[in-house]
Amino acid sequence: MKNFTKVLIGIGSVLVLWQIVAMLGIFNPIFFASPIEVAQEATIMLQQQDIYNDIFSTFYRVILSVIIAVIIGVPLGIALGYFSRMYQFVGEIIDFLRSIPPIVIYPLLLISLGPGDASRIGTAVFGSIAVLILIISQGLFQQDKTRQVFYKSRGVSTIRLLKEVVWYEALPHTMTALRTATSISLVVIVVTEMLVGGRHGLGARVQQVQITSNIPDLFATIILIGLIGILLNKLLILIEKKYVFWKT
Amino acid sequence: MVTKDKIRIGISQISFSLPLVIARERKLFQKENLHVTFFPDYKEAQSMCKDVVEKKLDVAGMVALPIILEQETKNPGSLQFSNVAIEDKNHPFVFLLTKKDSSIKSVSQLSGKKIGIFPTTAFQLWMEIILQKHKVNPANTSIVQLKPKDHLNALMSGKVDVIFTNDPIATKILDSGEAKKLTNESVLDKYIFEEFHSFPIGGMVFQRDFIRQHPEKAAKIVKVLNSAIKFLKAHPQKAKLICKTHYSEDVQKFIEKISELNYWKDSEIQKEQLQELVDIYYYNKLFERPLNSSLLLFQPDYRIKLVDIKKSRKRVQVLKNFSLELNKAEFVTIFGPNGCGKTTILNIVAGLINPDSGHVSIDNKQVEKSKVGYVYQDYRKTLMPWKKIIDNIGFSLKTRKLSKEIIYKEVKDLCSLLDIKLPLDSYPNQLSGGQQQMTAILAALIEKPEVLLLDEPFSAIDFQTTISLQEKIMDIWQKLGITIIFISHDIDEAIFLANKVCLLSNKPTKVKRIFENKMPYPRTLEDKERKEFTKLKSEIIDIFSKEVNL
Repeated sequence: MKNFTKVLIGIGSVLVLWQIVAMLGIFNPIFFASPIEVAQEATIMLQQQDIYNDIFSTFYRVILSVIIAVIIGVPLGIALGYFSRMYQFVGEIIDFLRSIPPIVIYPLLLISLGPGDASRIGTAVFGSIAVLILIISQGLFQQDKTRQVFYKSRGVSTIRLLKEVVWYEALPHTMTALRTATSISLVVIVVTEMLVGGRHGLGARVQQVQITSNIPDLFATIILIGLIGILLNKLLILIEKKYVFWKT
Repeated sequence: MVTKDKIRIGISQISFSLPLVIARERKLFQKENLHVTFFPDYKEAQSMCKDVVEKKLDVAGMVALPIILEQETKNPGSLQFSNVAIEDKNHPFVFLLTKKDSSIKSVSQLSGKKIGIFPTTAFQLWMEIILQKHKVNPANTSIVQLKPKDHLNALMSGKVDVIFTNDPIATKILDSGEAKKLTNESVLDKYIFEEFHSFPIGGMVFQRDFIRQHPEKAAKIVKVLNSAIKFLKAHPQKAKLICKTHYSEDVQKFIEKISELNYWKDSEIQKEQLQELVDIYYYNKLFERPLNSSLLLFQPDYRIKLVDIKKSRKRVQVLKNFSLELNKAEFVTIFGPNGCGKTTILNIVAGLINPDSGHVSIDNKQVEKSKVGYVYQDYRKTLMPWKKIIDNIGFSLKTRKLSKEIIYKEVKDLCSLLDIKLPLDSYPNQLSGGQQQMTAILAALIEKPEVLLLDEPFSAIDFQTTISLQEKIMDIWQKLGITIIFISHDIDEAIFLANKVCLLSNKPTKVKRIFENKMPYPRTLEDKERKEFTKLKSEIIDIFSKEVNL
């Protein structure tokens, strides 16, 4: 509770400071909104159906991207981390792919998959998979090998070893990778929504609000996206605490 | 020489005690310079076996295996067996008999009938197996244990419909002309050998402490019995004459009827089979303990050998012509200068790394993984924090395709056998360091290894817990009769635990010297104050400090 109070005080101080800056008129009020204005705009925003459609659309795209990336990336990451010789063949390729900012793939997918969800999600998946593979396999490389060697020498089959030992050894790294992949997906999805105007999505909303120059609305949307990001992160931490209980 | 120092040997009236009788009559023990006293008046084996457990006898023969197992189960770690008599196809000795005019023609007709059996757990067990094989529910029959002398009468008077008995009673009943065999073959042959080619029925039983204290004498006794068996096979006529001195007339008659006195076989394959039979078959059926028995075959010629091992690491020669030979059931601690390759030696014995040259063998065979248990200094490296304690301990059994229930039962049995209490449903992180290390030790023991390797297992554990773990590991060693190789960096610990302390040299490492610690077990902390202890310690430190130029 004490920590919670500290957090509240922290947020409160920032808000007060922000309000003071707005009131002092340092920035041009055309480009800058005070927290009170933002709060007023947010109240109106939250009373409309639109915003919920936007939140849902973005949320749905991000989650779907992460799920697809996990299904492909986690097994690959574990396999490459365990069979380290295999990694020697593809390691550089993965590192190269990861170095490409995922968003630059979007135009390519836009041509092949069209302007719908497929190209947005495809881009987010591309950005997430490489990160998942890299973090998980690197995590397994650094993992002490004693346990694997030990159980292998006790006659435990590779499949059982992967399922009952390596999977769990990788789990803390998998959770870290998952958090990073989720952040990347959120960024990619919002940007693609901004680039090619879908009807719904928080990115599309930012784009529309910018055109209308409704600054308080823009601020409110940005904060909302931030809150969604933090919410996803907290959710994943909660899951991690439950399933990687031995690390905490 | 006072009687106290003589080896006390019990002899029973059972027919297959014959090798022991021959050894006694032909003074084979004296020829090996063994001083023995015989106790030849045991009418039955049960009380004789109990006397071995209670240390009134050192050795006794022959005792039926179920009886030995029963006593061993009550007192884990007290007995070992050797020179096992084996039933096989050529040597039927158990028969199912009916009256000559009986309407019963086969075992499948025994449902609802009264069956008289020889009064031992083995006969009870065998009878149930035979009935089940014939799809007769043993519960639908009435099985009564009868004294051997009543067998003939019970069958004739109709008190029982069939009698399940062994020689010489069976031969006596058949000789009366009033009975016939229900099957012509040996009952065991037909119904039990389908699964097992040979079947151990009984053998010599040793006090385990006697073997520990006098391994050479125990080895000689096995040798004497083997040569008696050889004599028996070579001179059956002379053997029959000798048996007149010991046995009652009934037993003599039976022995005369056997053309070959050939219960005893001594091949390598059978040694393995024997232990397996005892573990899986007898324990499973009699005591419902499928894997963990603590009864061991005494094998005096068993050795763990490291011969001329060479091993380099990062171009530095760690081991050069390293040789070490250990006996079965020894507790050996390895002590030596820092970085001299102690762990490398354990890794080679465990088969985790291969030597550059030289070889390792256990009982003249290549090292098999299941025969070696390994416990690391840092238990965190092998324990799985995501699994409950019970699953951690039982994990290696999963490779044997056993059901979860059996694995859990195994773990619980092992804990109760060793008198260890752990919160089995907790996770490793919820336990203390000592408890976690004990979990790692149990996980290594669950596969019943012949050799347990421990690499400074208590070095990360607090003083108070270490003391209780040291006592526990000695207790485990005594109860399970396994060989322990224990690396220690603490000279007190090395001497306190072991019956042999192996001092290593600087690199390239060799065995500098092996010290024996003859202090009796169980040892307690006070033993560290004893003169023998301090003398041994200063001796070792003396050589050690010269080695490391202190």
